[in-house]
This record gives sequence, C-alpha cells and structure tokens, in this order.
Amino acid sequence: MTTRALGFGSFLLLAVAAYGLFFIASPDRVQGDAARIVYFHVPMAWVAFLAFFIVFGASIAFLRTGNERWDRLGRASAEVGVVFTTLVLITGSIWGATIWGTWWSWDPKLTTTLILWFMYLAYLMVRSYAEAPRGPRYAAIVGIVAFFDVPIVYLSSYWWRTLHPQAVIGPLADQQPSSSIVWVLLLSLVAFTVLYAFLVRVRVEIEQTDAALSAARGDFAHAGT
Amino acid sequence: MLGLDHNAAYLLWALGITVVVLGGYGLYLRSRLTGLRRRAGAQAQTSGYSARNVTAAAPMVSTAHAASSANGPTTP
Repeated sequence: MTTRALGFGSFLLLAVAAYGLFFIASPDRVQGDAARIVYFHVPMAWVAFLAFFIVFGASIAFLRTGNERWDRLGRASAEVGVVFTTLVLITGSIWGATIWGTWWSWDPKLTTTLILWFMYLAYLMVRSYAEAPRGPRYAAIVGIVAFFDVPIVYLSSYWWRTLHPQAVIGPLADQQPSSSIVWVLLLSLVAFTVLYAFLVRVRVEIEQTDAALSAARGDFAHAGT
Repeated sequence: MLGLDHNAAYLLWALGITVVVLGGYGLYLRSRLTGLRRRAGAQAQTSGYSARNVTAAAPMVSTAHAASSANGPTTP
C-alpha cells in the first residue's frame, strides 16, 4: 500500500469516525457531551501503546541484528507515539476539568502516563544527541526499558485506587457498553491506527532520505579529498 | 443525533486541539520530506554536472597543452 493511499484512507476513516462521534454515539446521561471525548482519547491511548510496542520490538531487533532499518522504525514510531501520548494527556485533562473539576490529579493512571511520556522523550533525546554508533544502541536500550511502563499504565486503574474510569471495552471491561458505543469506538480505533501507519511511514521515508543524503555527502567529500 | 449540551465547548476544544496538533505534525513531516527530496535531487544534479565537466574538460586540457607546447602540435 502506498503512502498516499494510507494518507487518503486515514483521512476518510477519521471523517467517518467524526460523523459517528457526533451523530451516532449518544451523549452520556451523567457526563453529557464530555463523554464524547472518550471516542478519540481512548483510541489515541491505544495507538500510543501500539507505537511503543513497535519501538520495543524494533529496539530488540536492532540490538540483535545491528540493521539500521530497525533503528529508523523505532525512532519514527517513538516520535509518533510521543505525539499521541501528548494528545492523550491534553484531551484527558480537558475531560477531567469537566467531570472531576480539576485539570490534573496525581492519580496513578495519569502519573504513570506522564512518566511514559517523559521516558519516550528521553528516548528521542538520546537518539538525537548521542553520536552514532552508540546513540542508536543507547536509545534501543531506553526503548526496551521504557516499554515496561505500558502494562503498568494499563493496569494501574485495577492495581490502585484511582479516579480514572476503568476499561470501556476489552478483556478487563467490567460492563458491556451499548453497540453504538462499541462501533464508534472501534471505528475510531481503526482510523487512528491507519493514521499511525501513515505517519510512521512518512517519518521512516524522512529517515531513509536523510541517510541517503548523508551517505552521498560523505562519498562526495571522500571523492573530493 | 447532534444536540450538544453545556459541556460541548470542552468537547470541541479537545477535538480542535487534536485536529490542529495532528494536522500540524502531518504538515511538518510533509514539508520536511519535500525539502529533503529537493536537496537529494539538487545534489544528484550537481554531482551529474560535475561528472560531465570532468569528462568534458579532459580533452580540452590535453589540446591546450599540445598547442602551447614548445614542440608544436603533436598531430602531423
């Protein structure tokens, strides 16, 4: 599938998900329209987890093989994952302001998510500022260690007393939501996953073009001496 | 059906920030990729020109050398 097709597909799916958000999903009896934030807050959190899982896998593959392709994939996925985690924190904070009456609470779910965000920022900083060949290797180690926070974030609302609502759908969900909620949520999940694939693909293309340019510059400089 | 309540401002605000951040990030990636491709194209063109110049310059140098030689033209 080409990059252009992925971009067009994600745009189309997001438009359909936005229609579902406003016209199919009904507002919550207690939370009102603030509950609609869940339809993009939850899928973005899932996509961030997926992005960090890809970083985890790519980091292991890079350390085992030394192939730069895995390093490029890990870096691209980490950057996109950080963008999605930033949005998860912002949209969650807006939801909290309406329902809890506060923009931020040092709740286990929120705190572990903030730690996750800082850890992947650290990954990107190590990858950017440490010189090759050590930089990619150090970043890969950070990418593996940081992933252990992902299950902690997911399970924090079960392990500790928390204000954050528990899972709406999935194996740990304690109640079955209505079918319209499930459909709009799943549609939104697919749309954001395709968007993630598109953004990572473009980001990897940037890495590849940059590497080819640097190699050509190196060859040119080498030929000039 | 669309019938927004008093919390709609928060919903639209959250949705607006999401659209602006993701759209901005997408545009940033696109402009960066376009810039890199343009530089790669320009570099390929430059190296192509210099390679042609080197090839073209070689006979000119040898001709000039032959003409200015104290022994005169090498061709009979």
